[in-house]
Amino acid sequence: MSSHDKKIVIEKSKLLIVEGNHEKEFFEAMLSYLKLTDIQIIPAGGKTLILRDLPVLAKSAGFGIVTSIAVVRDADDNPNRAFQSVCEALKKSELLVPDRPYEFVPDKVKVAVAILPNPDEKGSLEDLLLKASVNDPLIIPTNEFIDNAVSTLYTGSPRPGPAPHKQGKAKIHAFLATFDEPDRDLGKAAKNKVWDFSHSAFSTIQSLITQL
Amino acid sequence: MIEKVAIQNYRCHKSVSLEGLGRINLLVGKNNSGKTAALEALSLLFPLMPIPDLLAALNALRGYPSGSNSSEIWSSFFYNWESENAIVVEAEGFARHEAKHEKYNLRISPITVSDAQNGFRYPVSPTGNEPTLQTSLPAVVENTDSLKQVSGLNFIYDLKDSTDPKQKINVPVISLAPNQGGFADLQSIKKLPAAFLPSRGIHNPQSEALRYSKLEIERRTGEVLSVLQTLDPRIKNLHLLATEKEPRIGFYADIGDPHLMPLALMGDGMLRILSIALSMATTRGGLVLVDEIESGLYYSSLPKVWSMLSQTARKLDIQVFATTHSEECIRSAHNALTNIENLNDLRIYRFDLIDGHTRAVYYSPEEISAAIETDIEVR
Repeated sequence: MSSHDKKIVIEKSKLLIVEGNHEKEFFEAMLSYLKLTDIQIIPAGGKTLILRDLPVLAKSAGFGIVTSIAVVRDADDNPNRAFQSVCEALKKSELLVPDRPYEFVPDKVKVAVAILPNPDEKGSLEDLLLKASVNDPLIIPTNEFIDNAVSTLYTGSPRPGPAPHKQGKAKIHAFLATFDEPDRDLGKAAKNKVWDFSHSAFSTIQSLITQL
Repeated sequence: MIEKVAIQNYRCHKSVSLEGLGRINLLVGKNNSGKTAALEALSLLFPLMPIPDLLAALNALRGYPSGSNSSEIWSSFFYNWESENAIVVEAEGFARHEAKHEKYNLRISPITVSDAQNGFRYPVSPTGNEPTLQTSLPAVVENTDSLKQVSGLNFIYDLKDSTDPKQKINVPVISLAPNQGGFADLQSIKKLPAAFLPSRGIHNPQSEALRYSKLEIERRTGEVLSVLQTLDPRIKNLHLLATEKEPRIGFYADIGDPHLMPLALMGDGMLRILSIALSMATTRGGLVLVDEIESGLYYSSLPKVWSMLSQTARKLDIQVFATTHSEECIRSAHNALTNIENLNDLRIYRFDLIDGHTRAVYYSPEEISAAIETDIEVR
């Protein structure tokens, strides 16, 4: 959300709140695949800012038209804590809080929380992308490269490597560096059809989105 | 300071309230969301001129005819033109120099043709000329609908939150023409001094000359000068002059040139700031209501204007209610007034109009910071 984007104004009744602009572009590509045009994707200023920004968004002039919201965020090193953090933002926004991830709580505005890669696994959207990239011949060498690098760093180097829950991110960065445009982020990569959205790795999140 | 305002059945407001008010209150929102109407309601509760003149001025500012006494004109002040539902304006807070919490209340009801036939009587005016409602009645009342026609408005001021009807002040108004009707002593209902700066017709030389002259007598013109200097440091002095070429009195600035510079030639922003500064300097302990405060001001000068406004409001114990459409104005107010240590003067409210009903949404300073950083629209 950011300075380079236009002002965030609620225009649609279904909202998908994501962490940032890369995630926004990624989910735009997914919505395009799903042929869903009635969902507005709103990027928070970062995962930690969902807590700060969601209540402000809920006060927006256009919020009266909203009928459903899904908030998507990474599990990071603790999926339960990530879920609770979003729940806190929902409470602060005077919205109902679901009992568990991927379940809608019905209300005037129905609400759900998606934790990636899934509710009982550490990691991030990138870990989901790794699962969806499993058939790509380059995913094996890029995985090996990061695994080797990490083990090398841990055994000999004073430089800290990526924590276990961030290694998926490292692998996707390395994987995307093997394409014709090596500096594409995951959002632009998704729009360039790097991932097949019909892959079963995406079915849970897609199911949630179609229920919005 | 007023802490809470509640408005019912006035213009576009069916029922709306502003709570937790501060020294500087900025009202934002789309067109026709009720920002200006809220200022108008406050100006009626704390009238700055005789009620008929004020009503005529409020309609004139909206470009609505003010000279006629038709039922339509009277009804135009009511929500959805439904004059059967009384307008109510309430304010709660602390009176000047007093620790006692007080409530002020204004109720405006229609006076109908039927009221007149049932013997509605007006208080005797200070001049001894008692107006009669008959003068504004149709010659022949043909049916019951005609009896419901609104022929005037009855203002009932309850300034002591009392149940005793004798404590209430009645101000019937049957004409918007100057110097007719509404003969209550203005001083008795003027609980707080107030000034209203509309967005249109912002420069009123006559009224400003009077205000400036009052300050000159009190040797306080320096307060206005220092405000103008925040916008243009070249201004060494300000003069109120009548010249042969320009018989109307006008303001001239000494900017160090051989000739004084007419202030009007220094831009709309300078005239706007002059209006604001004069209003504040002559409204000590009261309310200053400013519609579209950014009008005429260049965006880069807004932070200085807000700082000046805040300092002057504190110094003179003034509460400010201002409206704006401008994002720059919101941002500059927030940056200028909330980054000062121990100062928490600013309150920002957005008016929404949803399904014909208005509401006011309060944004905390933290929420405004988030909205600015994340580019979330708050207007």
